[in-house]
Amino acid sequence: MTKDKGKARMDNKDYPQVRKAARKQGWRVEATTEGEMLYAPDGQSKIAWHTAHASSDPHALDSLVRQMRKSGFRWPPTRRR
Amino acid sequence: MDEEHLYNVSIETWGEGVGSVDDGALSALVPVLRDVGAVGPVASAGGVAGGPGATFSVRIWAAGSESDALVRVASTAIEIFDAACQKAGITHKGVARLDILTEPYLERDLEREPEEYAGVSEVAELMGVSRQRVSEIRARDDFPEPVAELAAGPVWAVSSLRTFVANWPRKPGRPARQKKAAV
Repeated sequence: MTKDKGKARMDNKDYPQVRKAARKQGWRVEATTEGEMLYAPDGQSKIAWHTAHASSDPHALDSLVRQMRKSGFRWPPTRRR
Repeated sequence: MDEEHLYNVSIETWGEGVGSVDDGALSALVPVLRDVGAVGPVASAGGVAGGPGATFSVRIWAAGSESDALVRVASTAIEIFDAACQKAGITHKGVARLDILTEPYLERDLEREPEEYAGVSEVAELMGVSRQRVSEIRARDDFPEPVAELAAGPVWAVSSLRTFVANWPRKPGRPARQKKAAV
């Protein structure tokens, strides 16, 4: 997590962590010309994510994670005991 | 005096399922959403309603009560989404769901840990008893139902167990022997 004014807050630089967690949770991630397409493990939904636009928009990753959580994505990842 | 507020919205529309929106068209919807005023948009398709959707933030200038602003956010978000769909050549069969979160709520929600799950060993550790004792305590009427019964054993949501443990009238030691009834 990127620290923002002392508070744990996601930044678009955290996207590789989200993608890694998504793959571990069964999401399929495919590159597109503008970014990536993320397919939910149940095959019932997909999300378009634009890397180029997201780099200049600090709110894009929040929208992505919120949308993925609606399809069962667990975030933040649970720590192993 | 008006102040700028940011709200995060998520829109789902009715449609014919995840495959009804072409990947290329869905990808093209993202920059169009930005062009018509969406902040940090992602585009989606499928879900319960089966149509195209999106999650993005909306900037609203408001001085009034939050409920007044929320009404404006709802209409603005739908206008933005419909304008973007029209430009991207995407059709839908009406808005099925619209969720609006204030920015502080979104921050708090994203930082919230997901539900944890526990098997018999973890439940025993949580309650400070043996695995065998967990099997006995499970028979109580007020013990939470497991969320799943796997071949490896039952699995509970830890949140439901914490409530039980907090209210469990634990009595240490062996239960007192009952006196034999007089013959």
